[in-house]
Amino acid sequence: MQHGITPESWENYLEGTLVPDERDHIEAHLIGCVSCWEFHERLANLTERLQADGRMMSHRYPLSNEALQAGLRATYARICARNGSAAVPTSVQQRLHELEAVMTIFCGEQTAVNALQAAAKNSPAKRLLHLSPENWESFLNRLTALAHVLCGNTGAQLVFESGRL
Amino acid sequence: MWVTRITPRIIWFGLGLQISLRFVALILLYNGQSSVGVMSLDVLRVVGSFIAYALAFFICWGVANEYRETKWMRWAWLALTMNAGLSLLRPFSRPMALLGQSVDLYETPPHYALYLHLVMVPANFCLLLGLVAIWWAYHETGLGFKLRRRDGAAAIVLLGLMVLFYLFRDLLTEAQAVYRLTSILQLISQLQMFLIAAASLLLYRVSVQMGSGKLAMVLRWMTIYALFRLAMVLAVSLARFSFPNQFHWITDVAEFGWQTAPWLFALAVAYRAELTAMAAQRLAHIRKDASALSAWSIAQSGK
Repeated sequence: MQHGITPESWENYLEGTLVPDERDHIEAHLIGCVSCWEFHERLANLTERLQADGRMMSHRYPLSNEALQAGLRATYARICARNGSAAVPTSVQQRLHELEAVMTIFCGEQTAVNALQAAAKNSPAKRLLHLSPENWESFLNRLTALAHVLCGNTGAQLVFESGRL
Repeated sequence: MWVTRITPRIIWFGLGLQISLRFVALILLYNGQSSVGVMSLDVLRVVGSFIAYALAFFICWGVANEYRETKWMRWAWLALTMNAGLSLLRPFSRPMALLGQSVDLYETPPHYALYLHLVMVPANFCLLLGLVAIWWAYHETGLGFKLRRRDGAAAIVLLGLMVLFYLFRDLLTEAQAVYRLTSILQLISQLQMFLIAAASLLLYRVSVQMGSGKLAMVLRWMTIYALFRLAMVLAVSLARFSFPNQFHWITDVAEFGWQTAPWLFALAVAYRAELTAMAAQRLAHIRKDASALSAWSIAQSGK
């Protein structure tokens, strides 16, 4: 808690669900406190960006919630079945999705998937399904090297930073 | 990279402006305003092409610097930079109205024609080298960029056209040039166009295999540029063969195409620069978000 505002209050304030009294209290405080105002700005930008990315992804894959959930469950079950008990850790999965989305914008979906697979193949993990936080760095370095050829230095930096766990 | 400020929109604007102004100047010429018309057409030719190649030169140079760590791509973009740099000299391959020289829109003095082709052959060679090096760099990544049978078939068709073109080489504008070297260089530069078109088809295959994405768009525009120049060579030769007495009319129409070509090259490389701009923008977002998240963590730890 900073200046009497809890993280929950910030979250509710940004989502517009905060009770009026508390909202007025935060707004009165923001007028006079530069550090809270800057914190609010950064948080608002981040929220906006996450919402925009979410909208973009839902436009790209127009599925109903039920279909999406069913698809995810089926994919997850298949991965677990193919891979024995070991499943790809959630943080690694999230990074993989982020990397695929970033690379798709620049070099197309098929090349993005191929690049991820090639980087995994040439890393200690050998396969995307075997990626873990332990072998992630080596995988990411190989992917960055591929991104250097495909997208140049700036693109490679983007891939590297998007993929950091 | 400051060249990312040269956006495709600026290039489209430049191309549109040059073509529109040329159209107006041509109308003036055909309506009896001979001196104003000739002067405007010549100034537009020199200034427009020079600006397009200069923009392409700076963009290619900037993109080459983006590939400091990848040998083939760096060579490719340096070759494209040299192509643009050499092509910067092309607009000066005729007497210029800007310098107060007497201008003939339909005839090029022999020593100017020689100068033009002395510049064109190495420029085309650099372009060919650049396109092949880009393809090789992508091929070397092992991401499955492979040629198909239809690419072989397209190459054979191009080879056939090249042989046919060689047999009808007398149709070239400099076939009966005063200097023998001019004729030879022109023939070489036109044959290079077939090889450049073939190399561009390699890039087109890569772009098809990529499917979507900015990079595929860049490769497609490079293909369009190369094929457009080849199509111009073939169309002008065919027109000269079919309508031997319409030389002025053919030149006036063909000049629209020739003056479009530098802008198409600039457009292809501007789309590549746009890719870097996009990457830089997203990178800045990620860094900003990371700083917001760290501020959030600090706030939570203080809780």
